[in-house]
Amino acid sequence: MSFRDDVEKDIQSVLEDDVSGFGNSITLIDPNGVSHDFKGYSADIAQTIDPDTGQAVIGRWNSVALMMSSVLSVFPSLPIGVMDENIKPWTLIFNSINGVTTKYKVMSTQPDRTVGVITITCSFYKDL
Amino acid sequence: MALINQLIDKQDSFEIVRDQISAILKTEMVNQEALALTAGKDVNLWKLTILEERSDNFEQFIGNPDIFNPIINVSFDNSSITERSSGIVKEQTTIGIYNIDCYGYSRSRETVTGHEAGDRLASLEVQRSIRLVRNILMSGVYSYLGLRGLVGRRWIDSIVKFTRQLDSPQTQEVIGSRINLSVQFIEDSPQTLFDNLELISVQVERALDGEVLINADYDFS
Repeated sequence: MSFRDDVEKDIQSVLEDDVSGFGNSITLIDPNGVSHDFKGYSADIAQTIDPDTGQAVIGRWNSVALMMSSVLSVFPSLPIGVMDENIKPWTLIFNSINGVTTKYKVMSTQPDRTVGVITITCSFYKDL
Repeated sequence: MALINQLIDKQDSFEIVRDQISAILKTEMVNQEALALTAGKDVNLWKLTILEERSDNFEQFIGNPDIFNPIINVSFDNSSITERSSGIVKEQTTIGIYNIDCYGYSRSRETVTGHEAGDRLASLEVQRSIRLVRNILMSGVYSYLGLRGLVGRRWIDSIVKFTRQLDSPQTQEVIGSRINLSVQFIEDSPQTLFDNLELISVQVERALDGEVLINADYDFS
């Protein structure tokens, strides 16, 4: 096993450790409605944004980090942000630290193919 | 030694105009909701939250992701005095610029065949709020903002919709825009107070033969 493989394994053990680490249960749902539970890292923090009016708006920034190998072992491709409104988007469901469950749309993804982690930026999503 | 012996406790015209803009928007939006209800339309499409001179962080957009009413913030930006039509003693013709900032918010939602994208919905929300504000303030009934005698004219100089910053992705989609409204009005200031020396009552009449007759009534000694 190369050093690069070691790095990926180390990251996987950190990201997917929900016992002694920061791992969290994250449900990923593809546009066809196929869902699978993964372990990964989720972030939900406040963020000050300026809509260019000079007025600060307290925003919220949600993101998720998953191992690409784990996702690709279930889905044929990585999630992406879907622009076409004729298609259901990729969605995620995960809890906040206080146990509040929320569903999100995959807004954009940043796959890191060097170490095998995909970071997903989320936006609010409402089911029918 | 102070030369102004009257307490300055009135609002300046720029403040009166600012408050009037907010009052007009609030009053008309309440009426629009009533008209929408009567017409059997979705009243929520005629709801705006109108604020004035706010600059604290807006947290309206988080917490309750089911509230979509666009937020309007009216604020005074700057003014300039038109020297040519102003006097150095009493009244100055002033052009005030007011920022009417509109914030639209939405989120992605599932549909039967796909989904509605939150970024597009937020953009349409802010444009809907622009539509309502522009129609109200540029209506002929508000040519003088209900302040004829004080306001000479009002004009929307520009409407700008801002694109979302690329380096700050947000979980909730928020789009901002600005309507620049310029208003021409008169500003005045404390003047010298004169004592009445004599009270003279004068009535001017024209006789049948064209002679001008003046009847004056005054005390003399």
